[in-house]
Amino acid sequence: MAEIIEFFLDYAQQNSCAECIPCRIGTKRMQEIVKKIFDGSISDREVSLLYDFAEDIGASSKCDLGKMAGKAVKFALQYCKDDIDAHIKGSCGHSIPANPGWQAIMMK
Amino acid sequence: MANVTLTIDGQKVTVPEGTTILKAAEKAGVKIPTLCFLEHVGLRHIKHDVGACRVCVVEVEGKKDFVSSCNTPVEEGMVVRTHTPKVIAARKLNLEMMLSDHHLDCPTCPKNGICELQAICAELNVRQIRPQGEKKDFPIDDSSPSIVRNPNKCIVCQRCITACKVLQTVDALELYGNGFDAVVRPKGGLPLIETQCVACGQCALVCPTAAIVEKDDTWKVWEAIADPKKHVVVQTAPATHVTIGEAFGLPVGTDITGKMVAALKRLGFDAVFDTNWSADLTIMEEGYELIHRIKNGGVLPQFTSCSPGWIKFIEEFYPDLIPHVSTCKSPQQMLGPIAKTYYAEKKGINPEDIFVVSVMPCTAKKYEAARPEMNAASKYWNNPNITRDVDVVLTSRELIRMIREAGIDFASLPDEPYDPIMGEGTGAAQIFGATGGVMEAALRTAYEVVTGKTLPKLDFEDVRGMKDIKEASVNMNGVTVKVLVAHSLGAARQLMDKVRAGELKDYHFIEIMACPGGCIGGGGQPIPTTVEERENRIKGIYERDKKLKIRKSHENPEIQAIYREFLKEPLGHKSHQLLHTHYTPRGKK
Repeated sequence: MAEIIEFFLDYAQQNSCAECIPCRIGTKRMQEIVKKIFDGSISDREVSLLYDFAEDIGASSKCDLGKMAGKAVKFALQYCKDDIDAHIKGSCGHSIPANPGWQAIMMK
Repeated sequence: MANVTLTIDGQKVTVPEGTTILKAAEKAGVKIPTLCFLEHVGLRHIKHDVGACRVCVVEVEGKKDFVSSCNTPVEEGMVVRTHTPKVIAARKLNLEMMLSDHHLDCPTCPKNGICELQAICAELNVRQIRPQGEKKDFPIDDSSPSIVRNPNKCIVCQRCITACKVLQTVDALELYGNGFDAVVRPKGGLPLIETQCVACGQCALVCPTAAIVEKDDTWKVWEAIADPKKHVVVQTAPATHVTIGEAFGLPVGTDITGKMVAALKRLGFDAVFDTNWSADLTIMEEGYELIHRIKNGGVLPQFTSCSPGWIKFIEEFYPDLIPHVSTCKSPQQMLGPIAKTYYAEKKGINPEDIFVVSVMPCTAKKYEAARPEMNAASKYWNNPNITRDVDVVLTSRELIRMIREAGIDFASLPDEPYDPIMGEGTGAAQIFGATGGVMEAALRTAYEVVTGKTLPKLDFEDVRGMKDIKEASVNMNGVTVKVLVAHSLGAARQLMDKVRAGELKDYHFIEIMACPGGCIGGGGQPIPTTVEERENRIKGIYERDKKLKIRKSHENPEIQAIYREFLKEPLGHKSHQLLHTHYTPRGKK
């Protein structure tokens, strides 16, 4: 999940039209915090800030791109907190396994 | 139009369909804070409501997300809440985000004290900046003699783009890039001086921070005043007579002419002159040029040439119409060379030692004074040691800063008179400061010169006011002289397209001012310069015109003296040497 939100934030940053503040700067700030999840350097303060950001950006961005970026983080924090905590501790077990069938499909 | 009833913070309010939540709230007596929103960008019909800052967000019952009140129309039965904890928290965090990417050197910032970002943070009680991270780091662009761009202070509200593209139709600025790296920059990423920017400064007037400001030349003036060898003269533009006081707490439009002269004398200038004097001179030259063109089948309609932003505009976008432009220099550039020739001779001062400063409502005047051809005095004396005709141009804002730096208590200064030789200005010159004024002044003189009769009524009401294109006609000895007035370059473009298409052949004279409202709304004027301010300043201009004893340029005794003693006649040999100029076709090749 941490990887997914990282991907989503990168996508939002690359495609943000830059017109509104939450999307232009907010997703950048979230990106910076999310990167810290991976090396475990994220602080409790930053986790709580990430919550605030997600809430605000999801609700106050101008268009759906920014709103979705905020909501993706919000839902990840809400529903996949274990996965993110595991990431922070450096013990991510990849709780959602990769689709075992995809290789077979691709190789056909 | 149908009416819509909604509830805002528990209050029922009925407004016409299409009204925004922001306006409806205003009607209900609820103030929603805004930052990037601008109701009238120079003219009443130009609105900036992109909803970039997300400060005006509100909660609407039944909607999951916030909506920006500045650009969301009301709906029947809507229930709006403007300051729930969630909304307040969102506004604050949005501002914190903005601040996290802002160079916060506020005490030394040129906008310190008049910054809208500062003000909104105070208003909304922002007390911390939680998000931290990368900050943008762009080079400062000071390539233009008029305007300095500091992209690091830019909050990407895009007001400047609206002013440049919609109001002025110059379109020199663009929002470039995506996400965090996006920046408002001159088109193509060029230094500003290499673009089609006309230096009008309307962008600087609407910029909420210091991302776009005038170039500060005050230090050059302090140094010149302190130099005992230099004879430093200063001229004050018509529009400054009613605007400088705003910064010192006087009501908008107050006539502060006498106080301004007193302040300039206290600052240490050797002589204080009035650009109103050279505005009268302009009327003589430009009026006679018009009469000459009408009599001799010259290129008509003739265009005014007082507004340097307009001159750059026609050079950039309508170079084929340059023959229509009066060859007269602007009043600023007329006073400069006269100070270094006629005045120098009369006072027995070496023209090399004369240093001319002007106080202008305009950022483009800095550009105008720097134009290479503007060194007529040097050519006249054939002396390369004589510097430019006008050495330094200060905007109204810069003079205000100098008065503050010197600790002068402006509001309590006594009135003092201008110095003789170039200090007398008429009511006709005074109205140069407002849109339609040059035209009205020209008609006051042209009518009397052509008909030999006294004008029954001096006021030409048709060319006054904030309507963007105005029209009038005057019967002079059986010839109906038809004139047009436009202010803002968007309106100028409408007229130019018609001239190009040959639709305005039966018109004689067109006045164009680059800035909305004319010079009183110039890019160098005190901030804020809203439509209301422009209107009140215009009132001040006409009141001062009424107050003055002499209201027609050709009746100015000092103008009569310079023709008698020096220039001999309008459009004469010396006039051509010192007071007329030529233009350069520019634009994309």
